[in-house]
Amino acid sequence: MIKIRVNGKPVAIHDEDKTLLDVIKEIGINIPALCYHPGLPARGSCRLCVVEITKPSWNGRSKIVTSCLYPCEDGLEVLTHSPKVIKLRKVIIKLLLARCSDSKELQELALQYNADVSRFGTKENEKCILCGLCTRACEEMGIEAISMVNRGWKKEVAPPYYEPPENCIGCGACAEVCPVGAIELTETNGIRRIWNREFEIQKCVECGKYFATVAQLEHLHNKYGIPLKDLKTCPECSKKRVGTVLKKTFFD
Amino acid sequence: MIYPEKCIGCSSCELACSFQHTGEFRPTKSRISAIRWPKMGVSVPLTCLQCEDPSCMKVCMVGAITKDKETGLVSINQEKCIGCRLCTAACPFGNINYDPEEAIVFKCDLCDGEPQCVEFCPNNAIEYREATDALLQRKKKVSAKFAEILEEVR
Amino acid sequence: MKQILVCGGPGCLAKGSREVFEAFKRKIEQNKLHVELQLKETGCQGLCQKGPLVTVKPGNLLYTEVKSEDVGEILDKIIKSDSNYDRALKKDEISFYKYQTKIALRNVGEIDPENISDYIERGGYEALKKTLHEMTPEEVIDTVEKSGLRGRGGGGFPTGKKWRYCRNADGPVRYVICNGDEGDPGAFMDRSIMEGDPHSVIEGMVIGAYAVGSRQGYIYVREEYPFAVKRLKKAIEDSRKMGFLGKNIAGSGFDFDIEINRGGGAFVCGESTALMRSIEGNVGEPRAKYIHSVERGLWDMPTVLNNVETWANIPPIINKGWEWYLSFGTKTSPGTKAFSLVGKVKNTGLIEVPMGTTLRDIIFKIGGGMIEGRSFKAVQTGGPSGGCLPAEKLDLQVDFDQLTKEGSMMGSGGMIVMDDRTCMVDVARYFVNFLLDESCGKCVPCREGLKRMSEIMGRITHGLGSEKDLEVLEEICWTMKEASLCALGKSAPNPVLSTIKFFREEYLKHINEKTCPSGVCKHLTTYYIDENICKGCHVCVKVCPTGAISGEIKQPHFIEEDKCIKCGSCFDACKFNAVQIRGMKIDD
Repeated sequence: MIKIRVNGKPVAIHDEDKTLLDVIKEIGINIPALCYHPGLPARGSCRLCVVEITKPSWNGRSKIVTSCLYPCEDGLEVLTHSPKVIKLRKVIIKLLLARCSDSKELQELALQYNADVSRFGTKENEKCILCGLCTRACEEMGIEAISMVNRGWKKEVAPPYYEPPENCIGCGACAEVCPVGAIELTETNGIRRIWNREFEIQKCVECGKYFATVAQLEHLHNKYGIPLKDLKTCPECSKKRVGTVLKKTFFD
Repeated sequence: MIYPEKCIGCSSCELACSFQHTGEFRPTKSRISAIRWPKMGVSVPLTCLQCEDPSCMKVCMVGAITKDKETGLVSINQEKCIGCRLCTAACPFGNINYDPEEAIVFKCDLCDGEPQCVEFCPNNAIEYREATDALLQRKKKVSAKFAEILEEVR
Repeated sequence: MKQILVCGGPGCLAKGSREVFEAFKRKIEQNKLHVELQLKETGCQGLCQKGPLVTVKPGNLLYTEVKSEDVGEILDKIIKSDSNYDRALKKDEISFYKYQTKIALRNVGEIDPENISDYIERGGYEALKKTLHEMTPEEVIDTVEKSGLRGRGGGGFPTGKKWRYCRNADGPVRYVICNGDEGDPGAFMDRSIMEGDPHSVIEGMVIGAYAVGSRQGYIYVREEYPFAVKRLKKAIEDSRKMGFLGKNIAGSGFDFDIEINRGGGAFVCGESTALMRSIEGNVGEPRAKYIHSVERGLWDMPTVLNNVETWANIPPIINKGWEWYLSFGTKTSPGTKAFSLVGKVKNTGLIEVPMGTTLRDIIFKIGGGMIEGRSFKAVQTGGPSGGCLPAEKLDLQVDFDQLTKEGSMMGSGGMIVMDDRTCMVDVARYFVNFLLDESCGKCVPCREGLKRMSEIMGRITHGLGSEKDLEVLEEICWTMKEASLCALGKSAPNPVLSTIKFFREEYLKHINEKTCPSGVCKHLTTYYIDENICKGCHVCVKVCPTGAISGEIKQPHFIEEDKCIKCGSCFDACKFNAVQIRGMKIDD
């Protein structure tokens, strides 16, 4: 068991694989973490979840670390809202807002942290904060239709060669995990549009409802061997079908 | 365990389930459904079977769906879910659904061990209890017949 | 047998040393001098400014600025052993070499790097044999730890400690890596070692591998060093043939081999974790080091990564012992350090000095002082993310801790000397823009911070800055230092912070008076001709690339401001100092 203190309060941790952020969230302390998602590997790139840590043996010295990556070590004293941490978050929010001036999510954070953005004198209207959640989601899906391309301030998220990605299955997980709504996904008349590609949505063979992209179903078929014909009904109709079988089982 | 022969298609289970999970009486948000054949006066309650080897879990790449070794419960960790929705298509029984309003996928979670559908079923058509030999026997029999018929309709 | 060593270092090659080498070869063949003369192409001999260099042994005589036409005459003197030949400088006596101590560079410029026998002749692979046959891994680590050797890549982490952590870490396999991704502008120490003495790196790595228990090593060389790759490849092949690499090394039963990886030209890949990602075939992005590479590095296995110079230091430490190594340098930074001394000094080149040597000694004794007519303004150490130190700091004793204390850093050892015609604001702007392009862009403080800093530096050098900009710069710098993910971001503010600290007045001149005192920032500079001084010699008219200068011969000339692109050609060409820069004091 590991014992740490968060803002002075002792916390006992049984799972040694937990990060500081896991613990901080569990005990109900809210700190911003834009590039963090519990289902995806941590990346430590937004730097908003920074905390100040120290140990009695460090002779009064402290360190700034990203809590989403830092492992729980016995004896750590963690400050989630020290003056230094708050000041750092403030500047980071300002830096992000200078890049994505129109982002509602960032504007809200700025309000919360009282961050005045006008000092940099710049306003760009990028949408993406380059947190990498979308690319990590896609990578975890085993698809890798999008990735980070280029370096530094020219970095961006894009499919290979900026072409509509061939291997994308249009599942929309990228858009789902995006913390600032930067990925556009639209659906009209049985067509889903994302990453400049159009995906046909499967119409339920029973009720005619659109329920998943054909590419998603093909992916399930190719990867898990689920027969395609079993994938052509929406969940509701699948349920009905099972119901019918059950009815026959019991009543016929 | 379900007893379709006892089901009267009253919707109590759906209402109880949706209220338990969303605070509203909306059968569309229920994790359990009663499939009805009104003309025949027949209905069948259906919800997650907590499969031994769940398809939904297999297709989830971020480990958001897990099966509890002790209770057998298959549950979704909403925090971990990245919203790819493959699980909804992969479940052969249609027991995982997507809620566009909340942007989450949802399924039966056995109400932390006190299933409300069981509680409110007026005719004991749904039961939740320890498996006995007799129950398992029944299950086996039903399953065999179910599989047979399923093969026919496919 | 007499030896003629023609320098094949990058500087000399560019100045035509290959032709000189060929000329020697032809002459020796023609006159059948093989019996008494041995001709070799070596790695960098150091004094790049005066290349092509030729060293003759015995006697250690140095010929500078040799042309192929001179070869006959030099050969003649060599054969006659005429040491009174005035072109021959005594290497051991001239100040450029006299004040140096060579450990890492011991063989560079002395041997033919493509010939393993040359290396062996100078004691090469003795340390390897001693290690494998006489020492336990623990003893090797002990020796390196006691020697106090610190990582020469810039971080200065104690090498022995790193090895020990790696040895003690759990893992089915361990790796050792040599970081040869030297990307600092103006730095060529590691290149010189890889090109001039590749076996020293290989030997060091075998010893390190034995110490930590690794069987596979990688040398990561930057894309821009094809010559280093060629030399290392040859050296690896040769040492395999001689049994110093591969299975059962030197009959000891120890197996280890090395692979070369080529970088893709990204500066950030010099950062250890990014480098490992790159070897794995991923995008070179650093990761947080909360779990150290010695525990989970390459492919998540315990890994020791040291830079070229560090590895090259290992064999002599093993051979001569830690006590010997401790006798050089300072208490906290023992040993020597190689630097590439560049900029406005007389003797630019590759040098190695004991730690603790003062900047003044390096610049004025070894470097020979400033080039004619220029005065010292600052020295930039540590590459693009190092700092600029002013004249007041010339007596600083160069080691890891002293440089860091003053807001600069050791880095891998670039040293750029700047004169009075250097604008410190412009220098900071240059480095910010370099880093802006080279930041990997993963973390917000570095990526966005550099972008905003670049804008602000641009504003200031265009005369559009305000004093508030300095505050904002300092705020961004502080955030980058505290919250960036890797060392690139954490050290990126150094050029700006150190110039604001030591040259604040210059910033304020740009901001408040809208002038660039050094006449560098084009938007703040006007060139004009003082008609009282101008003799009307017309030289400036000839050098002006845009035809901005006109005037009758023997009459005062003048510059048309809207045509002038402020390149400074006229300023440099005028023999009478008639061309003047507004805002810059020329007379004092």
